[in-house]
Amino acid sequence: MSDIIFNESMILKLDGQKTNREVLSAMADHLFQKGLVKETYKEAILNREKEFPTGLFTGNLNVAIPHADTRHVNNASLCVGIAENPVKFYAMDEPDNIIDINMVFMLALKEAHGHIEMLQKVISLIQDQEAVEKMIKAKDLKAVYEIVEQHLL
Amino acid sequence: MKKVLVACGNGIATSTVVATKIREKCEDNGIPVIVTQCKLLEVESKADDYDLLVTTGKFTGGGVNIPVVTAISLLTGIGEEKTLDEILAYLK
Repeated sequence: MSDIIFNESMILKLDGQKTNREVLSAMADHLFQKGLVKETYKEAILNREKEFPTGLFTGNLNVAIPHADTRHVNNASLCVGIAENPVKFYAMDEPDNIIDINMVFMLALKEAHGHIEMLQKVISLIQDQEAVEKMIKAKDLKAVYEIVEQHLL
Repeated sequence: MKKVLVACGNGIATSTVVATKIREKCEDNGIPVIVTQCKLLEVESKADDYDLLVTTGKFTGGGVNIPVVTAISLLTGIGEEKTLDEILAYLK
C-alpha cells in the first residue's frame, strides 16, 4: 500500500458528528487541512453521497466507503473514521434503505481504475467483522492504526 | 470473447474491485473475458457493446438490453460466491 498516504493521524474518532453529512464534512476537512485533497473535494464527496450513497451492509457493524472523482485529490490517501454511536447512511445498492454505520473509510484516489491492491485490502478488511469490531472497541487511535496497518500495509 | 461492463457511481473505486474479482474468477475457470469500467451515468450509452452489465450501485436507467447483475456482495462479502457464479454463467 505504498502508493497511498495513511498513518495514525489519518484516523478520526467521530463523537460530535450526528449525521452522515457532518461525518463526511469532518473527514473531508481533515484531508483538506493536510493538503491531501483540493478545496472542491468536500463538496464532491457530499454531492456524490446524495446521488450514489456508499453505505455497505457488511453484517452487524456496517461501513461506508465515500470517495470522489480523482480531480479533487492531490495525494492518494485514506482517512478512517470510527463512530462508537452509529450514524445513518444510505445503502449503495438500495439508496432508499438506511444503514447504521460504525466506520467510514474515506478514499482519496488519484488514479481512476488504479489503487487495485489498496482497494482490495480495504474491502477485505471491512468484510472482516472481527477486525472491524476490534477497531471500534480499541482503547485509542494507536490501537486502531495497528489493526488497519496489519490488514492494509 | 464476451465483454462485461462494470459500473459504479464514479467508475473509479468499487468498479475496480468488482472488475478485478470478475477477471480473477474468469481466469480461474479458463474463460476469456474483456472487463471494462464506467460510471453508472455512462451505462446507457455504452451497454450495447457488451454482453453483461454488472453494477455496485443501483442501476435505475432504462434502455439496456443486456442482462444486469447487482454485485454489492463482491463488496460486502455476503453471498459473494453466488454472485460470481451467476456472472460466470452469463459468460460461458
